[in-house]
Amino acid sequence: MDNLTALDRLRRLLAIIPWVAAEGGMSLEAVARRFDYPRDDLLEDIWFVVQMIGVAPFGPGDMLEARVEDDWVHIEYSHWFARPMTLRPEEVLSLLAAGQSVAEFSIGDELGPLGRALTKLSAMVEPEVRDAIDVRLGVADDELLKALQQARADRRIVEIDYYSYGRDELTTRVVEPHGLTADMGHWYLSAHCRMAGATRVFRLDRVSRYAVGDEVYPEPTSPGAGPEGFLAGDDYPEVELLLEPSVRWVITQYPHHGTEDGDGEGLRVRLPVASTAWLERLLLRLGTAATVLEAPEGLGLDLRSFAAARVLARYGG
Amino acid sequence: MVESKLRRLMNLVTALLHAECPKTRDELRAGLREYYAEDDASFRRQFERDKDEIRAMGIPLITGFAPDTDPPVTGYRIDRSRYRGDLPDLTPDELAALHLANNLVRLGDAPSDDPFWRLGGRPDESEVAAVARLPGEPALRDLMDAIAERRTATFNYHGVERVVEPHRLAFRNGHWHVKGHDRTRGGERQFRVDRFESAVERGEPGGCERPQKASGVEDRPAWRYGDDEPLTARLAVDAPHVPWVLGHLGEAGVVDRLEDGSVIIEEEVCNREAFRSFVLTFLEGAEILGPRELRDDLIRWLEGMAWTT
Repeated sequence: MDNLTALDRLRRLLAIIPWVAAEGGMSLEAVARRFDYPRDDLLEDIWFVVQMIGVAPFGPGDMLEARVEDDWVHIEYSHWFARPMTLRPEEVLSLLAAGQSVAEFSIGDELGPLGRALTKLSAMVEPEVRDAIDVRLGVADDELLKALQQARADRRIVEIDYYSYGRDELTTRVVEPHGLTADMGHWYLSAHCRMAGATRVFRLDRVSRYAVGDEVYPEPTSPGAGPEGFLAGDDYPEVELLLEPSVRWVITQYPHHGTEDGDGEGLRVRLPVASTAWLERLLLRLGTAATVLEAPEGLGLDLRSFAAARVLARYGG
Repeated sequence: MVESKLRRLMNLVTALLHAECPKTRDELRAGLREYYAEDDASFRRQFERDKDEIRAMGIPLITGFAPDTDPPVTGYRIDRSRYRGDLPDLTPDELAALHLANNLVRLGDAPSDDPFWRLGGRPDESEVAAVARLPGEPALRDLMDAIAERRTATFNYHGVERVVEPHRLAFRNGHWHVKGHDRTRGGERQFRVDRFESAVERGEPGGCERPQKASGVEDRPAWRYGDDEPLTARLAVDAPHVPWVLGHLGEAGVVDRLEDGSVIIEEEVCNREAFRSFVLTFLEGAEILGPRELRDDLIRWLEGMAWTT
């Protein structure tokens, strides 16, 4: 890490001092590596900061002793820092939540050390609190998730029936799974899609059938795209909407930019449009609480009207 | 600049840890004269900032009246027993597994290595890509803290200030929910954390009771909460959407499965607006079969837009 701030260094030193003292010394390299402290900064901070720690009147016996000899760090008389600061309850719960979430989707017997770490961490909080945080990473069929993890591990192709929300169509594809990701409540498979001839990201709750094949595919050369890459780049057309206060939630759910309060009229926002079906749904749901201020041809109010008419046709309208 | 600030903060923390009883600002200044400005006003500003930064790091800085001061003057010290509480004794492989999990499942954008410094440092240097990303709402940290320390949490929700005894936090369908006893309204309530309209103010530790067994966060869709007169809606959903619908709503509501793969489901609706919004996500892939009231409501909504060109 470059350019550690004074607080970054303070956090690290408050942990380093008790550790080095308890170990009876540590190599400079080991401290730098374990505490992500650039070696030169560490050396400088030991000489010019740690050596000068003490309490008034700063006489002999009031100062901590720190030195570096042959790339070996010694720290003594550091009784104020006999132990590192303990974890805050909120830090324990956050680590437990992350660990338990990983345990939930892991396959095989990889849980050994993680399971033990979670047991030890749990002991730090009251028993009733241990299960107070409950994370369900995403909606997905457990069998499908495990099957895809296994197919990824064995590098086997998978045939899926997939409903494309953006294009509103059902297709059957053969894919080479690269990775699985849970993002903001949904599980995604990133895979090479043989139909598209490129990497695609699939949401697992839109896979209606799957079959793992026997064919083994070659190791992918590039990492798969994650869902965060969905709307990266400037390749998508944009619409500008004016949102009434009741539908401001749009900005908490969709990528957007150029947010601006429109002088008491509502909120102006620009949204990238990855597919027309997506925009149709959004505009129909928002109704007249959203006004299209600017849109490329075919993505404005006429799009909304046609979509509304199409849905109405189903109701005999 | 960085170095002088670091030296000042390290020595301030040392003095506060060393203190057996609360030390006044001026007593602390006397011992740290070379690190602070001579000018009184600058010193005070600097000292206040330092104090805030130390607190923000989670260091248990406590205040009390300094002894032998008349009139009483506020003093400061670090609560040593809270600062030096137990840490789990993790083996290197356990620490590595926990570190990996913390990087795989990310709360917010960046994983925090901070707890790992205190657990003995980062066990490896490899960067792993996150497998799961959860929204890191600003209120989460305060809510976790409140749950663990039996504090109340006060926040604005639907325009009302609520004082809640939080029992449980759950991540469901892309959102964090907190459940607990709502003192303002009386009774158990569930809140969506991203809908909080203010920051969370935490009460004192031990300020509320915790039930023996907290009930789980309910996974109810938005249209089942609300004040509209409850209606049972019949909805036909076309085959391509069926896995998604069943994944979210479960099988319980399915009353019929047709040969073409579509299903008929029944749902209780207490919030018509939310239900309409849900149905429209299917575009023409779903149809409200009844009751008449809900069907007509959707038709009217669409007619309002079909004619606006």
